[in-house]
Amino acid sequence: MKRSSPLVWLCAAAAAVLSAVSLWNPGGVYTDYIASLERGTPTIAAVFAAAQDGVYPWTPFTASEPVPQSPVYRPLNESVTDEEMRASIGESEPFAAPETPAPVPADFAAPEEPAEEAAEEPADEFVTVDESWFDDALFIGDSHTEGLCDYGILPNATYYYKRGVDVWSIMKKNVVGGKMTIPEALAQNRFGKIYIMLGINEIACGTTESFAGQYAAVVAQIRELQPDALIYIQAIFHTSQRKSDNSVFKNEVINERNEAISHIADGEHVFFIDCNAVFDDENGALTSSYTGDGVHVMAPYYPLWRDYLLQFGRSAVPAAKQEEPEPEPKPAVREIVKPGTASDGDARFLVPLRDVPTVAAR
Amino acid sequence: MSFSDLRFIFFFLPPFVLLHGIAPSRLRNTLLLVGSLGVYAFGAGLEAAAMLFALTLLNYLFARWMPEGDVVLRRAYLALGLLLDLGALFFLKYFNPVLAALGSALRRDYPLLRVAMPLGVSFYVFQMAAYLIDVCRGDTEAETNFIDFGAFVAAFPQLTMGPILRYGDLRGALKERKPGREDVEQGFMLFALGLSFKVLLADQLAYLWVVLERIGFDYISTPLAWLGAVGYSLQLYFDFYGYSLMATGLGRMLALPVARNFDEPYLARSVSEFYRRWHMTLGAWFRDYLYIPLGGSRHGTARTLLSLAVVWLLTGLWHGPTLNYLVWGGVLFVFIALEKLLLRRAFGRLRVLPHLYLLFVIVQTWVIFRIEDLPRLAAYFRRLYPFFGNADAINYGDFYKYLSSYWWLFAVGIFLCLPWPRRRYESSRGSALVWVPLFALFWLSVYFLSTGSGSAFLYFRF
Repeated sequence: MKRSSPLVWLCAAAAAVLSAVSLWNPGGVYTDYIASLERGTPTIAAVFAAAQDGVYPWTPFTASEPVPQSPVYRPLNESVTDEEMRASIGESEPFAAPETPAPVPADFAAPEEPAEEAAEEPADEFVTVDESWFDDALFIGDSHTEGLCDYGILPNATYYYKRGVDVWSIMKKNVVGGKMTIPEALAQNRFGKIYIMLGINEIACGTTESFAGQYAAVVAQIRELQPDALIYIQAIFHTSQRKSDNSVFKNEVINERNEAISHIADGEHVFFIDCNAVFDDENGALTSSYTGDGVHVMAPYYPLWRDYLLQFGRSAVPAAKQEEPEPEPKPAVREIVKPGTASDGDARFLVPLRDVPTVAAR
Repeated sequence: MSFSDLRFIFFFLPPFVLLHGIAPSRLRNTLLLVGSLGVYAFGAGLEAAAMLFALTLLNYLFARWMPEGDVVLRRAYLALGLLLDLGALFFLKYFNPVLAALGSALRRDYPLLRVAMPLGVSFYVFQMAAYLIDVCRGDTEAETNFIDFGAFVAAFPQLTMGPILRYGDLRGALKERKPGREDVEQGFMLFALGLSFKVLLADQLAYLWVVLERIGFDYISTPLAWLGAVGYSLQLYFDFYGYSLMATGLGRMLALPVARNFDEPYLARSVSEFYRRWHMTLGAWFRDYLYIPLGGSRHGTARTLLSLAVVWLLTGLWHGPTLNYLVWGGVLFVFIALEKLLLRRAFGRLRVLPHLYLLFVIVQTWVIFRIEDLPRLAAYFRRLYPFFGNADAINYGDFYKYLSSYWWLFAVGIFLCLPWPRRRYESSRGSALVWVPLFALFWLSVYFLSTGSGSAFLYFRF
């Protein structure tokens, strides 16, 4: 029987060609990919990694967007005038569902309170809302957002998630139904509020500065596409103590990066909220009994995340001016003091404290 | 270094196979020994390589020192050698876990030893123990050339994950082999096939289990729990079978006959048959060196059952130091005993039922195998059998969600468990019908490995 097979020779030839291509590196398309390979890995891997991004030898070389070396905290409110800012708040309201109990937008002079007062009366900034708040809400993120979608009991919201995405890939990959990118989807749909949860996948990539810079760029791009939406940057979730101690997913890094992305918030259109308090143990790590893999909370804990978000509804009318006969219990608010940053009492640092509901009883 | 490491595939393998092919016959084993120790040291560390070398040398010496005719002295050397091999295995694999378990049971904090289990120790220790026993029994002559023996133990195709080879089967090839063009071609085909089984099937299926752990075993729906059990059964098969195929293929490239380790196990009709077709070299080891010396099936039912119980509990322990492996071995023993006593007769000539029985049982035993923590294992079985316990926080759509993203992996996997894909492969090995798809699968695997969509890297994407 004929037993010869050209497979090994063809594979060897293909490997030689691919190696040659990667070393020839036409127009420098592979430079970045080769640099990011683990030491000793064949440069063939760079050819494939590039192909995954749609980069081929014949792809015209465009200098890749430089990874920001210093924080690019784009203070969004500096780039828009007061008029635009007001207009954008006003326009954001019609997207809220009709049954939203939030008061009808009225007087826009109110938000112009001095920052100091906002700190004293933080309830002016956030109100507790009910679930219809999420009728026009969009959640963007990684597998954390997937968990919220599957187990958060929030069927009325929209979710654009993909496992493994990070701030560098979130706007490029086909995250929406596997067919569309987020910029494409945002050009077609309108949302009243957009919640972002990113940062765990790239925890070992880049620096805090480059991460926060890219995060700010993502927020800016979303803002551009959905100028009327409120944007909520959600703090990266902590990992369990064991995971934090034994992997790259270290809570110190997470805290550092959370601090950095909190600066992207402007307290007007972009807010930073930190849900870690709900899931953390006394050491500031994800409570081990809440998690199966040290990174994600298990299914029954996702509604706690939703409940937490419900406290951050926003009303155009300061709550103090409302005549609510029986106001809902407002969450206690603490100010996260970050040296040199929070002294202005900016709303972005206000984080309601909430008794962690005990789920163990279930 | 694992076979699915790109550095192994592209930087080590081609030059090594080439050198090995053109080297003079008497230098081949030196090359194999040095190259294998190098690869091992690279992946497992210098200390592990030094220990492997020391154990190999001592086993070689003990076998050589066994004098002809003096049974007592032969057995003394055997006992010494086994004590050394199994002692090292116990010390490295079980000492820390046992101490930790004891500590948690007694609420004490025992200081653990700062030793890490060397890669592949369970495999090569069994291989050397078999050699000593064979030499003591007179089944195999003691090897006088240390290089040849060292090349046998350390040969990289089988060092870290088996198959567990017998020296007697390889001696001929070790002494004289002429790897030719056909060996390289056919060996590489097997390697490419095994690589794609591992990377494209096993590693992809593995993510389903990651998801189940993430959701929490208490909170998966019953259909998803069964899907997960079947998925893990397929994952484990294609991981280990793929690895064994790669080993056989690499062996073939060096003209070394590496024994077959799998024989379409999921087509078996009983648990005992399953384990004659799954990890065959381990089953044969326990049969030849434990079950038969214990009396086998020749001394009545009670003695047979006792031997089986010992064999299966030790088989369980061989796989890992935690309690679930003992439970796993115990459950297998119970089913094998049941088959011996009752089922074999009851099944008789039934055609379908024995297959369904086997699959139903085996899939659940893999769940026991997979979950080391007993309370979590219990939680999983509560979901497999949801007659007790509460059922809140369960998303009943979860099954459809994961079935819709994994169905094709299940379909391909199940299809490949059937008999005729392999027959097809065997009958048309030289034809383009085989090598064209294999070419695509090989490069697709490399693509997956390059982009981090494969291998362990996968589990760190959230």
